[in-house]
Amino acid sequence: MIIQTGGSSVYKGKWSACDKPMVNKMSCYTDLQILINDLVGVYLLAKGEANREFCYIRIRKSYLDLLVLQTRRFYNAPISDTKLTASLFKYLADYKDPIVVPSPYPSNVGRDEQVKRLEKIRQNIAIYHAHNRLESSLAYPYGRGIGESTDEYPHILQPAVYNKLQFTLLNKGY
Amino acid sequence: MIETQKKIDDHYEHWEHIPVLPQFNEPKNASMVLIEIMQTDNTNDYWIEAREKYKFLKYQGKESADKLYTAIYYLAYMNEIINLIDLREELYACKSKLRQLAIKRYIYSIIEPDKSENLNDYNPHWVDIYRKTFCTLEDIIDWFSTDKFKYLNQIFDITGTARYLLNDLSLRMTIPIEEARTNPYIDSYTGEAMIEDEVITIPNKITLPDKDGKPVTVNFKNKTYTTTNALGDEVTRELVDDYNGYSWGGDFFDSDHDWYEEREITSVPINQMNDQEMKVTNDYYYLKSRFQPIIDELTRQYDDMCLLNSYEPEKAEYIVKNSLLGMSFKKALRQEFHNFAPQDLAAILMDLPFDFSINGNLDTIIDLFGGDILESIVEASGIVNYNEHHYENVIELLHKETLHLLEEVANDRSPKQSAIFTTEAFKAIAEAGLPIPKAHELAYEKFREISPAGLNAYRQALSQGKSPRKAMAAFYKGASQSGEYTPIDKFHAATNGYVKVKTASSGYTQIRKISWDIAKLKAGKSELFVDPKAPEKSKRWLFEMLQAKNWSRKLISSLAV
Repeated sequence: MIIQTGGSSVYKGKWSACDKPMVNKMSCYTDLQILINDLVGVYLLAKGEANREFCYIRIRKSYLDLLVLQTRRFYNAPISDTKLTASLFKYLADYKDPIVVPSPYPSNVGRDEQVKRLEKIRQNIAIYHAHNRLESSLAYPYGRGIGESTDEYPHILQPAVYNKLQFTLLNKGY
Repeated sequence: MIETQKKIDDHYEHWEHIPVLPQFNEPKNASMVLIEIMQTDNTNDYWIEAREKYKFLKYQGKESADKLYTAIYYLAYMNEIINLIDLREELYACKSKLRQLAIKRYIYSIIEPDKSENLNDYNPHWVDIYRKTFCTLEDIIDWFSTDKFKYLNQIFDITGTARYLLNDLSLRMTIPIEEARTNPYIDSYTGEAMIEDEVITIPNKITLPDKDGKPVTVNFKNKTYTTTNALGDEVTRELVDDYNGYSWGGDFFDSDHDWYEEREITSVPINQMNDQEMKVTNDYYYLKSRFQPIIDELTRQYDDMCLLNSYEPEKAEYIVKNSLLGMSFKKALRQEFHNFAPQDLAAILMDLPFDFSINGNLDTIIDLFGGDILESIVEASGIVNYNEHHYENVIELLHKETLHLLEEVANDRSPKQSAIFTTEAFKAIAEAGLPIPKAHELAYEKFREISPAGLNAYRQALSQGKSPRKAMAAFYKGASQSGEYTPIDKFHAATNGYVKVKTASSGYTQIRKISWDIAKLKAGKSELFVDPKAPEKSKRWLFEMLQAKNWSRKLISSLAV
C-alpha cells in the first residue's frame, strides 16, 4: 500500500500537491509518481473535488494500490492537523484494515514536535469513540450535513479500530 | 375702535369689582398668593375661577405678575383636563341624554376651542383627546422646569402634574372605544372605518354575458333575470325556478358554466417544462464552482489541439471526449444526474466549447431550452459584456500610442530595428491580421522605399534572376553608394587575427567574422560602431588594440557614434 498525503490542487490536469513526491537520483519525478499525479488529477477533476475537500482517495488497480489522505487544500497551504484527522477518521469509518501513515510533516517541523502533533491526532480520534457518536462533519461518507448515527457504523465503536492506526516518523536526515 | 374701547372698559370693570386688588400693591410673594387662592375657595375648580379672577395681572406689566398669571393659567388648564377625564369616563355610563350633551359640549369647548360647535356626530375618543392635549402638556413640562419657575414649581409641582396627566392620557388611549363592542368595521381606538373590512355592496341589477356571449340582466331585488329565448324575444324568468325552489346561490366558478371549457386545452407537460426546466435552480451555482476546474481543463485541451496542434475541430472533440478525463467526467455526471435538476447539469455542459452528451434527456433539454436556461443564470454583479463599440475608441488610441512608442525606441542603424520596419510590421499584424512571414515581407517592401537608388538596384537584381537574398545585398550596396541609407554593424569581439561583428541586416542577431583590413575599410565608410553601453574595460582594451594596429585617431573616434 502506498500512502501519499497532499492537497487537492490540480494544474493542467495533473495533481500538483503531493506532500512528498517520489523522486529519482536526478531529483525528477519517478514514473510511478507521474502516473499517480495523472490518475489523482483525473479523479479530482471528474468528481468535481479539485480545490475542495476530498478526505481520501483509494485507487485499486492490478498495478497500483494507492491511498491519498488529504492534509491540506492547496499545494502551498500549511499542513492542517484538522484535515489530517478528518481524513483518517473518514478512512477508519469506511475501512477496517490497519493503516500505517508516514508522518506528513516536513523535516523542518522537528521530531519532537511531530511526535506531539501525531499523538494529539490519535487522541482526537479516540475522543470521538469515547463519546460514542459521530455528529461531526469530519465523517460524512454520504455527503455533507449532519453525520450519520453510529448505528450504521458499529465497528467504529470498537477501540481496536483506532488502535490499528500507526504513524511512522522519517529519519532525521531525510 | 369700538372693540378696543370695550376691552378697556372690561379692564376697568375688573379693577372695580375685585376687592382683593389693593393687596397686590404691596410687595408679596407669588407663592403666598397662590396658597391664598387655594385656601379661599372651597370648590375643586379654584384654579379655573382664579384664572378669571386674576386676569388683571396680565396688564400689570411686571415680570413677577406675568409669572404668577402664567402659573395660574396653566394650573387652570390642567384643572380643566382633570375635569375632562372624569367627565369622559362618565359620558357613556350616564343615561341622561341631556347630561351626555352637556358633557360633550364641555369636552368640545376644551379640545377644539376655535371650532364652531357641531355635536351631532361628535364622539370624543381618548385618542383624539390625547392628540389635542399632549403638545400643551409637554410644553408645560418644558417651561416650568426652567430656572424662572423654579420655586413655584417646587411648591405646586406643576411639571409633576403635567407628567401625570400625560401618562394617564396615554394609558387611557389603549382603552377601545365603546362602539367597537358592537361595530366590527371600525378601528377600535380612533373609530375610523377600516377600508379593508368595508362590505362590498352588489348593485340590484347586473348585466353579464352568458357562455354564448349573449347579455343576461339579473335583477337581485325581484329575483328575476332577463334574457333572449331561441326566437330572439326578450323574456324575464324567475331566478328561483332554476334552482328548484331555493333562492339564488352558487359561486362564480360553477363548473357547469366554466368559460375555459370552450378554449383549447393547453398541454400540461409543456407547461411544466416551461415552468420548471427553463430556469436554473440554486444548485447550479454550487455545481458550477465544483466543476469549473474540469470545464477549464477540457476547454484548454480542446483549444490547444485546435490552435497549437492545428487539428480539425472534429478530431480534437473526438480526442477530448474519449480521453480518460472526458470519460471520467461523463461517468461522474451520470452518477450525479439523479441528485440534481437536469437543467443545472445542462447549464454546466453548455459551458464546454463542444457538444458533450451525457444522456438523451439532457440533450433534449439543451436543444429545447438551452437559450432560456443560459438567460436565467444570474452572473456576478459588476461584470458587463460591453458591445465592441464601447472599447473601439480606446483600442484605437492604444494602437496609435503603441506605434508612437515603437518609433521612439527604434534604432535606424539596423534595417530590422528601424522605425519604418517595426511600425509597418506591427500595422500589418494588428490592422490587417497578416501572418508573421507576410508581415515581414510587407515591412521590407516599405523599408526599401527609403532609398530609390537601392530599390532600383534591388529590382534590377531580381530581373536578372538573382535570389531575393542577393537582391537585398544589391539594395544595401546601391543605398550606401548613393548615401541614402547605410546599415551600421556593431563590434562584437576581436582577436589579433580577426574581428567579430553583429550584422545590422539581421537586426544584430547574427555574427560575422571579418579580417582587420575589412574592418578598417568599413570604419572608413562609417559602417561600424562600438556600443556605448559596452563595459569600460573592453572599450579600453579595444582602444589599445586599435592603436597597436596603427588606426588613426580620427578613424577610432568615428567608431563612437
